[in-house]
Amino acid sequence: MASKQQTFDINQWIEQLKKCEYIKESEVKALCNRAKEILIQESNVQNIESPVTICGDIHGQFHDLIELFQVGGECPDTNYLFMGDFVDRGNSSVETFLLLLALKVRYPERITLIRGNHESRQITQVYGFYDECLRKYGSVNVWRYCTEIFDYLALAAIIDNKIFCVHGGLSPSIQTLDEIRAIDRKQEVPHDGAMCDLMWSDPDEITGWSVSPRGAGYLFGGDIVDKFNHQNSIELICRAHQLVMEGYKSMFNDTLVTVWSAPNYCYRCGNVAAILELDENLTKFYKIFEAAPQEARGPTGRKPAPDYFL
Amino acid sequence: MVDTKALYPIAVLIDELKSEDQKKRYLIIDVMHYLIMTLELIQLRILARQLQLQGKRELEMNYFLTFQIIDYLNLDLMDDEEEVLLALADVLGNFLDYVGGPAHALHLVKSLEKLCQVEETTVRDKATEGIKRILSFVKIKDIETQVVDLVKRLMNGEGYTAKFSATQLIPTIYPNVSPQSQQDLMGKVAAIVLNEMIKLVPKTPEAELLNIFGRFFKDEQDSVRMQGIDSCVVFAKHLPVSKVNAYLLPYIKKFAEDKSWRIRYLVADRIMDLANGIGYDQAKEHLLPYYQGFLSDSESEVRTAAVSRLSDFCKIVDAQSTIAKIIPALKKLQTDQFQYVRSALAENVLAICPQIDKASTNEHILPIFLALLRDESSDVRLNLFKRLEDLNKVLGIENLSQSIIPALTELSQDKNWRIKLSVVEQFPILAKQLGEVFFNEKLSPICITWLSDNIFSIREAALNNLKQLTEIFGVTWATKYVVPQLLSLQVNSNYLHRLTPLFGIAQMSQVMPSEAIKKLFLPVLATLSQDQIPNIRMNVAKSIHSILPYAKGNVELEDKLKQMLRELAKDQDQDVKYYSARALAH
Ligand SMILES: [Mn+2]
Repeated sequence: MASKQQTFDINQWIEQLKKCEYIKESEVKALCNRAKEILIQESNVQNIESPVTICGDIHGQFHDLIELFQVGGECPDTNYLFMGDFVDRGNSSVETFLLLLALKVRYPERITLIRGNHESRQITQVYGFYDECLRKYGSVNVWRYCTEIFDYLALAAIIDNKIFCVHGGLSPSIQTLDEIRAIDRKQEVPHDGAMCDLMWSDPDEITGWSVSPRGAGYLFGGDIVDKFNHQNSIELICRAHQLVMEGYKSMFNDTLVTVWSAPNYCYRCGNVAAILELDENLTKFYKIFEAAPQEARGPTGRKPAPDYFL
Repeated sequence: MVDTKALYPIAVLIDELKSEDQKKRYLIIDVMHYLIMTLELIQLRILARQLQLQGKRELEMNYFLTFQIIDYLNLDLMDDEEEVLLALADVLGNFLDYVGGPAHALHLVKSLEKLCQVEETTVRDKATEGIKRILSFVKIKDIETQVVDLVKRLMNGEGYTAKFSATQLIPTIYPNVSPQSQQDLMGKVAAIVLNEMIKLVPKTPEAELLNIFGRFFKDEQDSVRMQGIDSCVVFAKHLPVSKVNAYLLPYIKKFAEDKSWRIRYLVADRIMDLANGIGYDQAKEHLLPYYQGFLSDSESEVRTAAVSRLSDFCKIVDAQSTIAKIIPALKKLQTDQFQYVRSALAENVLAICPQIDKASTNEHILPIFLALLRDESSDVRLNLFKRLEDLNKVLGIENLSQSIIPALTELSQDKNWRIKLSVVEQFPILAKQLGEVFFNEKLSPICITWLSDNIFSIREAALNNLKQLTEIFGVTWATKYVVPQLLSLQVNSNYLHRLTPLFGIAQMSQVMPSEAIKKLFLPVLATLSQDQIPNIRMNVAKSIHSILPYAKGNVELEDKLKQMLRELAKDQDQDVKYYSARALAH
């Protein structure tokens, strides 16, 4: 037991990560191995019970994630569902993802993470996570461990069988939740097909399906949402994936909502962020917050030399 | 044969130094002195030889041992970014032991000399610091010519950067060289170094210093003149008052009228230091007109600096002058176009109240206070409450409550939660200032509202307030005015708000007697330990964990708490189980 604690001190890692200090490569490896054991047991459409607080894209904006916890409460006191896009764009994808993953490992019942289109090997090589790992650890091992974990993340979640949560949206190849449950999710996000669409699609004021300007996934209209919700006895689709200046946006007579949790996206968009609190009666409370002020971002100074060298 | 394994880190080092990645190069330099410490001389020698053989660089290879590495760094990284240069300067300054001690000091100094000439101030400072450190280990007399030449070279170098570094070095060198060299150096002294020299009075001739001092003010660059104000302050400390007034006062006046706002800003900012230097009587007579001018200066930074010194400056001026000369300027500032000027005014204006009488406070300060209380910026409004006590002492709370309560109420609901948080944090201070009766009547309702705020941090801060307020007003007060409201949240339909009484119980138990814990808190814990939401049950366990130390000695309470934990330890939920077991093991 004593030796196990030495190699796997999850509470210590959480403390460190909360201070935006990254943990050692060997520790990342151990953390990811444990995370794998937990995530592999989750369903493609993970069942969650209310109450839970739903969050959208974070994109490596670590200090804004800390701000989010200050607004919504700390995990595990508050239950959380994060709908993907933890990494890329922001300065601290490593700390952001590892903190969320460490919380998942420590409190698997209190926090759920589902996959976004940025939780992908290809995308992270273009939008920052890969470079950040290389810069902070001097090798791409940490990126490898993390991207391997991405393959284990659930594709969607459903709260009290009533609220369907997914990063992007719907897919023309999917009519029922069971069809999502049947996907073999343990793979890199494909370029097309059901799994890709769930992570890439966007709702739009159209009828039916349309080509997405993103080059992956589809645009889908209110009628599609109606049909899907009816067929699956769902009241609401909750998704992220699109910047909303006001933090959240409700569409199609409140049958779909976009939640965006990265304030001042890319440190320059000037948007506010939101989280959606659902209490145990599924009453909705939207909490709006702004980017963490400079003084809450701490010294941007030097980090100690990583131990891979000495 | 040499153990090649031992050379491995060095080989990596050299490779990494050639890396395209600036961050990586910087890291290497950072760890370099650790490496050097761990290496044997022989290894360094071999490393040097290897570098030479491999022809990995186009440098001369005349130096031996570690110098090779130093020069390598020095020449190859000269164009590098600030962070890298800074690290390099740091390493070189601490390198003396690794190059064979004082005998090789000059070599390191020579390397640092280059770093003394770069653009970045931080790097230059680190480099001069390094040279000073190295020189502290050697007999400067032995290398006097080289050291004085170094200063001369820097002094004659192009641009301001090298000169600046030279002036930093002179105070270290000056006391340790021959009179001839001293004279040489004095001729080169510049503004920055003057301050250090003045501190050496009477070792340095004051007439000569004043002479140099006089030369500064003719300098065209305001960055040089800026140093002059510091010099005035230092001078004033070291010279007798008569001389200060004769020599310095004219200069201070000239600075105060300077065409550059930076200089006026500095005078405004350091007005109290200058006043101390020339004596308060002189200050009242000579500085007041300038201070008045600063308050309505065309540059907002100058106005802000002046307002920030308000409370101290008014203390050396009589009430009449304050009313006649200073207050009219303040009235204009209440509508200043810059928010930070008004913020500074709000933070400082009330400090005058105790220095003028009640009638004048009523006539002059209250209108400013009321105007700022309606300011569009919440930051300005908030600042007014920082020194509310000063106004309260003079006018009394009954005269103020009508105006401050609406303002406080509005701030307490500000849409920016961090503003709200600052208000929350003000409340214990306000409670102390305003007293129990007033607080109960007007402010405790606001405190109670915060307990169910929709932002977690506000709820948390509000709970922290309850504890502090209990320390101020006592347990009886808390039991009557806040505890019932706190505990009533146990029936809230949202689990996040049912958590609040649990967090509160943990906090309040630190300041409540154990009988009160038993009577008031125990029933709530019992109810919530049956809650349907695991997060609540888990926090019952956490809450009991923090109460247990305060229940010591109250056997009945301790028993009941532990009994509750034992039940919770059988929970279905693993987190509830974990926290209950942890509390039991305590
Ligand atoms: Mn996305």
